[in-house]
Amino acid sequence: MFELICNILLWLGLLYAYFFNVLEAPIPDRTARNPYTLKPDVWPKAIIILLLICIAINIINIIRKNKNNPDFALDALMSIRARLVIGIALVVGASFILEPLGYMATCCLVLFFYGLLLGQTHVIRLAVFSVLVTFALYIVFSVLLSVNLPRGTIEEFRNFSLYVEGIVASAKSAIGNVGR
Amino acid sequence: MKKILCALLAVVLVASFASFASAEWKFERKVTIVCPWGVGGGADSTLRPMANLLKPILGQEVEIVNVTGGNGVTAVEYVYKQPADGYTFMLGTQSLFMQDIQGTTSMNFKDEFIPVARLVHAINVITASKKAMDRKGYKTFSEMIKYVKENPFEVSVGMLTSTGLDGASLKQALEGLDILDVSYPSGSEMNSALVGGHIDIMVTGTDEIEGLIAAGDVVPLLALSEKRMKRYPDVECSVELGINSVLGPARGIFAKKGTPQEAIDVLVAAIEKASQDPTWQAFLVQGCYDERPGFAGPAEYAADCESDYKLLTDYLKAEGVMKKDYYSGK
Amino acid sequence: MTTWELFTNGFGVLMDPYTLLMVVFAIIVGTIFGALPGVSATMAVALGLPFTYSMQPVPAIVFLVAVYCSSITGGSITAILFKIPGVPSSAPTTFDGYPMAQRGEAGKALGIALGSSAIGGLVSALAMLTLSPQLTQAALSFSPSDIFAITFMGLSILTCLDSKNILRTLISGLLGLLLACVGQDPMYAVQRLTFGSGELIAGLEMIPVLIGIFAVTEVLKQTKKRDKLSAEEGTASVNTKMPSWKEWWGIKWLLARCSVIGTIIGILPGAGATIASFLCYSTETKLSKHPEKFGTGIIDGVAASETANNAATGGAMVPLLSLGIPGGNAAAVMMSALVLKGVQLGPLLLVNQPQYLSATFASMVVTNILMVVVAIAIAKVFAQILAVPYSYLGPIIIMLAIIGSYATNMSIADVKIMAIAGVIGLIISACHFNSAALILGLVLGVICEGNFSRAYTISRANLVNMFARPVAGTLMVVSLALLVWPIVSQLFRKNND
Repeated sequence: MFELICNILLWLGLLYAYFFNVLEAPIPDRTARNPYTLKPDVWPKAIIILLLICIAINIINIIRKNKNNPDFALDALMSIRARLVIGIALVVGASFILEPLGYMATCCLVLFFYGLLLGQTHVIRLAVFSVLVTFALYIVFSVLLSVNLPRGTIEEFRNFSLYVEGIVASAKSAIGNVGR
Repeated sequence: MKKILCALLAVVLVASFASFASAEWKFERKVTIVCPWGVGGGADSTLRPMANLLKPILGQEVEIVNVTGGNGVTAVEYVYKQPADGYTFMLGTQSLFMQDIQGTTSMNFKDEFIPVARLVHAINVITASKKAMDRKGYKTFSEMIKYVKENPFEVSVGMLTSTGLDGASLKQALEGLDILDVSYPSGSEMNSALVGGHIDIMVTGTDEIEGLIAAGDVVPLLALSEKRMKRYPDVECSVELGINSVLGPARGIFAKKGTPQEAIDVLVAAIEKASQDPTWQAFLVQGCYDERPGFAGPAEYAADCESDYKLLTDYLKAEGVMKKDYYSGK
Repeated sequence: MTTWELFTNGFGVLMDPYTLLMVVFAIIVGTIFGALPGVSATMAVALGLPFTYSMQPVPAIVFLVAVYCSSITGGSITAILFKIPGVPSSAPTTFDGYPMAQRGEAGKALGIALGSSAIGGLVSALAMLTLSPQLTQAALSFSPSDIFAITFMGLSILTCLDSKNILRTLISGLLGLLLACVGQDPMYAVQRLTFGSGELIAGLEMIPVLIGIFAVTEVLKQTKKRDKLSAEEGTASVNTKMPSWKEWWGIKWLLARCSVIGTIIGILPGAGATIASFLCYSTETKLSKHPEKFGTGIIDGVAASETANNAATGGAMVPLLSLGIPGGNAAAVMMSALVLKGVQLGPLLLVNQPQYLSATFASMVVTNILMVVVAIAIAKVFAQILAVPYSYLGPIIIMLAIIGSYATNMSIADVKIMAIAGVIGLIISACHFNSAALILGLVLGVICEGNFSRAYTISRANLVNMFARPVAGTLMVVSLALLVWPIVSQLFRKNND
């Protein structure tokens, strides 16, 4: 059932995209005038048409296969577990709080709550672990690989990130001086 | 006497204040310059040597961050989201103006960003494939034009996205001719297609193909410039043929509006100083950027940007893809 | 200079203890960079650039080549152990490498990956040294229609990826192709399929989608399965048993084929290691006597992907040195470094400064041999991580996925794409679609459409002329046969029933 719903939604979505979203800006005049160019809508439209045909056949197959299956209508919700839903919410949520809160806070929160979700019972140990790993990853990516991890747009979080960067910079120059 | 004294005092005060103001800004942490194109590309390889020279002058790390995608739009959006505190700048070219005019940026780039300084200003060149030339039998730019007129839609022209700068400068140079536009996603694919004779001519800067020209696989036909290039004195230039096409990629530093003026002043002074450095001068010669004056200060660069904006607006309007018209009131 | 002189000259350069030390350092750095998600081979080489500022041009290229080759190899380590492809070209390595690690055969999978990487790298280095001019001419003769035909063949092999499920595999592949269209189109910069979202204008980057569909989906699946009891256990016992000689001998022809295909794909500008490894993986599925075992954890799959992506490194150096046209992004970074040092790359390099060719060759050979030893040591350290309880490891993988997708482009949008791709990965497996096929479509989509469009214009909208070339024509006939045959044969089977 879940599979059937997904396929039908996909089919409808593609049909909608075919009519409204293949081209969202005008084609340059010179391109439109030239008889020998492949207009930018041809390729995606061809793919969508092929997809519409294939998915339609797939839908028919699914229905035909499950005609005599009494459990078919039920299994849609059976396969979804609360644990999985929370997991998805955590991952998607993390991608949305990354910008306002910045790397530091997001990383701590994700490590902590996902750890809880995966059944970790030692809360204090987990909290310490989260903070340590956050710093370890920060050192690897931000300090050693100079990836600019997001600082956060909220004032407090941004200032904290800048504060840490300041410490790192002075530590680096101290090491540099010793090296010399 | 009193008046003069007052005036003198005022002048001294103002002068000291002014010098105080510009000396006031000191970069306290690393400065980030965002490059909208990938590592190893033309824009990136211009920016990196400059950043190296800026480091000792500013006394801080100058970090290049490559934010690619969407023909530069991703980078514009990234910088726009950063606070205008004088620690984030970006590299820009006319390609960003074109994205702005076509309405792909969420803000008005022209209003929200200020030109700080130009680093280099290259010349676009129309080059031909030796293989294709031998096949089709033209040797000069005029012969090529004649060939195109006799054989419409026979000559294919390579460029990097036809709504980019190359497309605009090509349209100016080959106004009204029936050619086949072939867009390439990267210079390397286009260059090898030209050497292989799969496309007939192309429009690019000369920096990446100097070796191919030296080897004779690629033949420069026309320099889109006011005067002939020093390296290729035998190659005609557009202005001497009466063609009004001198657009060439100019790479410069931009700042988000609201960036402290003092920070900009310090950066401009640093770039100007770095531009005099022999390492930079040597880089300009290697990269074929020595044909036109490179460094330009804020006022001159802003004027250049303004005239390019006007020109590109006209071009994109004619192509029917203009969304923002900054000149509708005028 | 004769080939022999080039050969001795190159090793002469590496006899210098300082240079040799730099190579070892480069291998360690490169392998670790490659293993970290989000640090692609291009980024690894770019990160290596500052080290070369003070070097002479020859040691500089030796150093960068070593970083490049070893980072491509390093990507396989995390691909096998955590299902996170460290570099995009290691994505097909996860298909068989991860199931092997889950079975406790991590050591064997890593051994095969590193060994076949070395073989692919060595073969392509030899090809580069001896056949550079010929290979360059061959690469130049490839027209857009030929390149389209190659990628189209790669796509038509889709039907073999899962022979019991051809329809669903086809749908997945087509979806991948459609996803590749999102954003500004490569030819005219017209927006397509963004649904008004500014974050999609840049299109779907391959790396966030890869990381999402592989790593995040896997963690979510584990989340669904796990309960409190197993939280304290490690994922798998780490067995560092290496593959036997007999197993190596069994895949000798596969190694040869993938080395050759990988080298050729590497030469083509715009293609590169990722496309090479995907194409070889799917080709080997087609040629295998037991295609149904691919994806369940067999050494053939790991070997195919890793041989090909390292062979592509040598290929990418060919046009860089002989034409001054980089065969890929990482090669472009090397080019910018060399140009800064005043090296005049291009057709005249082989005449005027042949020492660069020989140094590159020697560096590739030494790197590919030393790499096996160094990388196995690094892999053993990484493998220890598998023993960490999953309630700690799972969240770290999620965080690595977030950082990895952000680091490519400093883009929050990419992180969101990665998260959504992770959820879509779940839906894909619930619907019995094929995520490998989807990724193949996404990887090949842009190059496929772009070259079709170019070929179409150049041949003046004449499809017959377009494929009336020996390479393009043959490949198109073969691919159409590949596409149509399984469908027809299935129909016949049905009629007989």
